[in-house]
Amino acid sequence: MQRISPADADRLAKRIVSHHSFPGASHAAIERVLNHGELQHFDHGTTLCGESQPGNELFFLVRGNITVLRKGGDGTDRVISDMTCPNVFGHMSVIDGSVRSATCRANGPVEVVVLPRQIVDRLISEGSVAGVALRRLLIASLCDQLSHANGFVRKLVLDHSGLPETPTTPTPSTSKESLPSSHDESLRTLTAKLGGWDTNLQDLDELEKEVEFVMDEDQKRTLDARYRS
Amino acid sequence: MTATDTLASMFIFKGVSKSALQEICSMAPPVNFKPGVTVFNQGDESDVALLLIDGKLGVEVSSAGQHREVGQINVGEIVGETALFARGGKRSATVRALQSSQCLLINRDLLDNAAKNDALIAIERHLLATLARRIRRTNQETAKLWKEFGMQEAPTSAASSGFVTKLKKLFGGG
Repeated sequence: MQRISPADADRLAKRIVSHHSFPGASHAAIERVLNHGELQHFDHGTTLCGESQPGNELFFLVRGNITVLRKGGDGTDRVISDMTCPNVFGHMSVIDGSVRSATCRANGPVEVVVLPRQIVDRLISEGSVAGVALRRLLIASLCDQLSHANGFVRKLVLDHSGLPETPTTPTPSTSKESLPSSHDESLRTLTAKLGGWDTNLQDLDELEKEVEFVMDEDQKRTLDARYRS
Repeated sequence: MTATDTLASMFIFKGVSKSALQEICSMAPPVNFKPGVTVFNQGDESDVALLLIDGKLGVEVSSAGQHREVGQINVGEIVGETALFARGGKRSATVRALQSSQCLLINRDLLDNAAKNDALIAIERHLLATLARRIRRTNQETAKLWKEFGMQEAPTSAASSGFVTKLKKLFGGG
């Protein structure tokens, strides 16, 4: 089994720590995580994980680009993003046992560190340096994803509601107003269903610029490039 | 019932030793909130998450000049984790105690000093599963919304129109 080189592990770990801020983050701890996995190389066009397939490993992107695709309403694959280093992907299925939500395909030659489910399960259950680092890295990554996803949904709904965005002005609960329209009602229901209060509404202007889809902030780059073209 | 006993009765601590729970309770003694008390306010700076171990909390969001009750927090649920684990740790909602409630406060000190504690590991694993479930649900709702809006008239504002056009490119709807 091939391991990631010390130089690459050091480089990747430092980039991950600078990308995510979480308690106990250190590049040395992330390096230990990377050393539990196997370095694998994929040629252009290889599918690393397929939408609706079981997910039995997560990936750290070491080098290269990954194209993320999801089936559209007509059943054809649509590119929703590209991922570049540093990026962790494939972790959702490993965490909750559900199927892959998207297809990830090598766009050019790719190097990844693969962590099989049994190693992930073991690490996130233990108090070792690597275990703590992996667990908290995944939590931080999911928090980012959820914030973006909630902001995206809220923006989508508000765009269609025609409601003005006004600054947040908390007032006592006794002064709560009922919502006037059925659309507002659906927004309230939706937000409640989503538990979608994680994203500050004041960030929506920023989110419109930054968030183009719900999966990962790295996808922004691809979308920017796509819409410029 | 002691706080340790309360924790021991929760499903997320199944299999966790009483000594680990006692250690957590001694490092972060649970905090009580009377009904109606504000636990934290939207917009507050913070780096503390809460695990509700007794009672019930209500979540409110202020937007467009109005308050909305968007959900409730039940025993065993974690609230405010984004402040701890993501950048820009401002509270995105106001949380109030709906009943007499008790919370375990999880801050950076606890995460640093109890990293190997099995109870804290159980909390973090619970948080992982919770976040994954919320993201799946949000993605599903986004897809539904997109289909729903794709069948409606185009939005009136230029900004909205641009945003939705991007969405249509993404999802192929329209």
